[in-house]
Amino acid sequence: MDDHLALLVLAGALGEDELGDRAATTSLWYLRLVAAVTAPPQTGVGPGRLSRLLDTAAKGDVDDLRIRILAPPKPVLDVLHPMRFARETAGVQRSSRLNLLAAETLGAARHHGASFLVAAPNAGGPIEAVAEQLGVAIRVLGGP
Amino acid sequence: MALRRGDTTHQTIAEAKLHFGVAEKTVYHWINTGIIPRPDQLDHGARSVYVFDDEYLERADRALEQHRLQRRLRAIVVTDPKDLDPVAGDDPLAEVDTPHQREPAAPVTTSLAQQLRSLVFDGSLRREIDATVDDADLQVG
Repeated sequence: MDDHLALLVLAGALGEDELGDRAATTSLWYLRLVAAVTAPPQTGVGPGRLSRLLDTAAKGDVDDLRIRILAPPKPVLDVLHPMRFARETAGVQRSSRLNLLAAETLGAARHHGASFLVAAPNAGGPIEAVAEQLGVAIRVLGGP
Repeated sequence: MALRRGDTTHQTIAEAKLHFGVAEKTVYHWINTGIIPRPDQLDHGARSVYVFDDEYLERADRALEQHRLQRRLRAIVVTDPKDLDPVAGDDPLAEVDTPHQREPAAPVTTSLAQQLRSLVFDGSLRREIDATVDDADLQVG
């Protein structure tokens, strides 16, 4: 799954019926999530909505969520080690013009025989055509 | 092996170690160090043995989860990169081959969950993350 859904899974904010029984994300989607959560306010976009939300929410809630994001409990969300499917990732990157984020996603999906769950704002783009060629199913959550 | 007393069957260390997925000595270690509560005991011949009923196992599971969260919090406080790495350990690849059976996270408050869902699905989080990580290999699409 992508970074958006990983955040919701770690927050317990996705319904059981919205996910399969195994949840995992790749190292680069995870890196995007951690970058957003740990970005100091003075860099980039400054304090955005996520930062403001985490600043204003109940402290206990936020502390638990930060811990879960920085060290995801494996039974809740696996962050997959890229070495396990490096060959598949390299193969995807070689045969397509996808960037590393997309290539690792499809490499992981091929290795595990899994589908890719993505939040609607992250859906679309060249990964979809390559996924179709490779037989990797993409499921979009939160679309119209 | 379970102990039978009248109409009641009590689970023992043999069942408990299977429940936790660890060795007996690990269960005893958790008990003796207070990581999980001390179970009730039953006399069995000349010995006294621990019994682990379902309600106790649920309490022990919660205690273990709490213990693990506290360890992670300590790891974050000391910022030891090895402890922060969710796949680090003696064998960094030992448990990452297959995604684990998912367990739901303890949910945040309904209000925060709704705000997070709104942030995710209205595209705000996408814009925020894209602006934070400007490397082309980390961009979506």
